[in-house]
Amino acid sequence: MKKFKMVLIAVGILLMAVGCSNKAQEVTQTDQLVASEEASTVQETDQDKESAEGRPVIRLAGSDTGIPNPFRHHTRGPGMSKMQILYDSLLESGADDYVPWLAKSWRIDESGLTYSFDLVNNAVWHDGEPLTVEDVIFTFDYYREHTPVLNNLIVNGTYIVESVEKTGDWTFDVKVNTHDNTYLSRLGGARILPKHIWQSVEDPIAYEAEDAAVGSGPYKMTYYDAVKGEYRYEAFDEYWGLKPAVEAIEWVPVSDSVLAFENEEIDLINIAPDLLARYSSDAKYTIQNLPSYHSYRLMMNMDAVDALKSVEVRKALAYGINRKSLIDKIARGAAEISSMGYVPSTSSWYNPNIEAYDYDMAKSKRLLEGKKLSFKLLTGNAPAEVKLAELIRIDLEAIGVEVTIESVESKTRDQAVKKGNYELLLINSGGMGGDPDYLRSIYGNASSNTAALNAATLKGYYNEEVSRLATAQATVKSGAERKEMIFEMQKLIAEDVPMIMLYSNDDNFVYRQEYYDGWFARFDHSKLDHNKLSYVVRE
Amino acid sequence: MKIYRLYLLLIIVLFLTYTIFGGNVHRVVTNDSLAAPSLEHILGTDDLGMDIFAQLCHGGGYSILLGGLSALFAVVLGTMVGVSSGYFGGALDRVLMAICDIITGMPQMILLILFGAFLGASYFSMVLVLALLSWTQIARMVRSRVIFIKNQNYMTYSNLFGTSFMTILLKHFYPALRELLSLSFIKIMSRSIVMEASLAYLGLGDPTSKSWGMMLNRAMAFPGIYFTPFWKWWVLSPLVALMGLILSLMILSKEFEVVK
Repeated sequence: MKKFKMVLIAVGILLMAVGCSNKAQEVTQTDQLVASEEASTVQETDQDKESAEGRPVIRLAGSDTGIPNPFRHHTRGPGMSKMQILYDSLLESGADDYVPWLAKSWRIDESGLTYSFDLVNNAVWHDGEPLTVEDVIFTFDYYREHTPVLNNLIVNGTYIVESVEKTGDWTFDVKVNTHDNTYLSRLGGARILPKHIWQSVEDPIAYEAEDAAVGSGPYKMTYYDAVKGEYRYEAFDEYWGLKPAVEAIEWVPVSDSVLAFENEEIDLINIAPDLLARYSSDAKYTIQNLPSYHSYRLMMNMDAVDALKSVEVRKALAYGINRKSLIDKIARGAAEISSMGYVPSTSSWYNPNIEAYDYDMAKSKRLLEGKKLSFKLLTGNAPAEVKLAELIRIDLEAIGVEVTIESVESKTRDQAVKKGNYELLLINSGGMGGDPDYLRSIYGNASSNTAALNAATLKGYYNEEVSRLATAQATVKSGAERKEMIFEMQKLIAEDVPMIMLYSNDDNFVYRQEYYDGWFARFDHSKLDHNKLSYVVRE
Repeated sequence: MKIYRLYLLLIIVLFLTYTIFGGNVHRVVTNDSLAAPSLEHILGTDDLGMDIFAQLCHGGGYSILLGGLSALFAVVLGTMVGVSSGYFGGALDRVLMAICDIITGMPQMILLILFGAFLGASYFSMVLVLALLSWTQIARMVRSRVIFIKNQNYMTYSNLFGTSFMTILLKHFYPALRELLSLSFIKIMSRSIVMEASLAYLGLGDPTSKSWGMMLNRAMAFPGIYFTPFWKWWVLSPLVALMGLILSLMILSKEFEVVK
């Protein structure tokens, strides 16, 4: 009997450990603990998942990603997309290209220095105020003084907008500092701010008033709990444009997304390939397979570590990592080896004729010439990252390079990237869709934005020719010439190996199409739940 | 031999045999990812193709050694504090017991998580943190026993004859405390193993270790593992092994208590 009691106690202890645990993926472990214990406050407030109009309420797995305004959202996709749903821009990303949004139409003069936009005349802010040209003028002025998180309006250290002039009740001209192939998307992507709210705000980063998330988008925020990581957006029925397709969008913390999806607590998941068979055989589910515009990469601090200044050593590391094996083991085969020239193979800008760095241990050893090297490898604490680090360590040890793994919480790792506190660093980063101008900010020493990765974070890399091409490709007017330059850049980058591109996961999104099938993939970002057009009635 | 003793012995023998013969199969990546149990891999493999039985052999020793070392540190520290506090009394007693009260009053698991995050996830820091959180109970028990012995007549005579402290410690205190300390050692060891497993399971242990808690962490973090057949060998193996170990230690300590 006593032994039986002890069995019960032991089982109890283990179950408690199991109950308190979570997958370590995007948020910190302690955050997840809080989330799992206090989950579903939002769900409890809305048991009825359909409105009187028959519009569903969409629930998604989420965590705290900051106040969703242009100054306070977190840099990665989940934070950025929540802000973009609330705030409109002049253009929006469509299926193949940018589509008109707050700007009905636009034209660029021959010099490429003046952009004329025609604003919609029926847009209103969530608080009922009309959205006018004054708001747009104010926005471009305000961003000059107050840098938003996603700052695409600074290129080569210069704010690109010289002036914004009102040319009619609903029209305006934006004068820019130079001709640049990417300026339309930069201007078009800037989120317009309500002047009546922000004109009196001197420090937007400290601003936390109730109207800090008032935008003009198809949804307005009605609930936000930073501690729980819960958000609720409700349809804004006075919206001027494409009508909201769902009654509300809710982000709730879940401990296991697959279980939550099975229990219909959330409506969309991105699944591992081992689960594909489970959903593909059932007609009530739709699976969308999409290439991811993210890639795992091994960053090398060429500033702090002398050995990494040698291109031969960097090449040796690149040849010494079996990337195919990483995909087989960690991505379970559902990924693609990333190009060492950075541009993904699904892009029309991809240059296939560059060094591929196929796994070659003998070549790697030859390049190392018997050098005994040892590095610290900093990684996040998500299981996939730790396993990836472990496999890389095994590969590198086989070529005589000693690796010590240090695993930290992912936000600490992201900070280390910016501050350069690492020797080798493993990170999965996105922003690889659309125009290849990202090469300029990452490799071309053009400090352009505050995204997770830019030239400032690629420690110690400088190639004069890459920098020259990075600037030239942005201003050349001939499409063919630009393509040639982008191809050449990829070749040079691959030869330099400033960081080792590992692999890009495939995305396999699953949803119940009878409940909601408006999910939409845009040309520059594959995450269905991050796309604003996923939540509006498209014509 | 009783089955739980056999099990404990088995874990130790397997670990020693595996380690002495230079076993590193637990960190060898093979192409047989997530293979079901077979003659080649008797408990199957994980997603990296690493043999689960080899990981268990290695991890068992890891857990027992970690539990044992932290229990040893806790017993040594607790005894030193308890004897000093009980024997010398006065201000020293009040200060030491106040420290004990503070540590006892704090939520252990949260402290463990904080220490773990602050000191890093290395093996030594885990041992240190577990020991630092476990010595207070021993100190209190030892103190009570020492005060009791100190007030015995034979101790008064012993003091009158000018017996040195070391002699009193070894001749009078140690024999009286030995059984109590042995029992506490096993209990703390068991508790440390559970706490290490919990920490590892929460992702706060050494991420590259193959402790049983970390094995569980990795298995359960596999997306949708319960909707695949892999849990049958990847989750169950470390879970059953860990439950068996904790149960065996609990029965051992219970038996120890009854006999003594």
